[in-house]
Amino acid sequence: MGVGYRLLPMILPAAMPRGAWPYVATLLTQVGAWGLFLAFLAGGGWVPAFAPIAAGGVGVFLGQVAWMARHRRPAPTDMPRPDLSLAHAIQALGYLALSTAMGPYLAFAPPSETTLRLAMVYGTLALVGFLSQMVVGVAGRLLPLYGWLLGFAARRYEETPPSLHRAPARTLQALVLGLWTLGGCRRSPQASQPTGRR
Amino acid sequence: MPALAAGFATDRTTLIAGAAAALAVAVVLQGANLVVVLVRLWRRGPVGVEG
Repeated sequence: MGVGYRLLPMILPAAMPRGAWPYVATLLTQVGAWGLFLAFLAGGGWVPAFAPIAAGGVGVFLGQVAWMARHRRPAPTDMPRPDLSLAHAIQALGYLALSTAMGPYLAFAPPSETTLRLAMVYGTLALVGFLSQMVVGVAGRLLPLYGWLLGFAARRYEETPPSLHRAPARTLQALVLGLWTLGGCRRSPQASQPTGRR
Repeated sequence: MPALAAGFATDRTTLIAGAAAALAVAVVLQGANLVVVLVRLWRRGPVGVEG
């Protein structure tokens, strides 16, 4: 989330959120995360008290993402369309919204075989669907920038390298997006199935 | 996704393994893309040309 506040405006591109809401999101998320950590250490009795706080922090962040989407800025003219890094980011945020919705439910629902399976789905959505995919999406935008800076330095800062937006191989990017979409979709619902044959 | 689901055996472990393999290949391809980016931006052009 912290990285998202800086990098999502660059990826979209969009205006950077200002004002109190980013602080509200940070405070709620930190209080919720620390509370959940300590509550789990203490046996889990206080988990229902902190899960909504953490979910609220993530919810405020997602609200800020929606604000960014409404305050777009012009994209670079040589940026290929569609922007596949943005597709990763959108997909990752969708997984974050799903996992955020599941978290409080799991905190309040009585433990059962179903909630155990849903907990696996929850973890997969958050770690693979959101976190890992956001890294992949952001890397698709940051690595060309890194390469461009290396190229500029290699040219002794006298000549600019080619456009960083045209540097990635579109076929490879599309394959990565497709495979990540297939793998993420498959893992998430599958973990909720009962053991044995589907 | 439906093709993956239908093509693979229907048991849960195989599907999860298939999904994990897809993600692993995606990560490898992402690494390959990084190499492409570096080659295009860093090595192309008058790199290392001495005056």
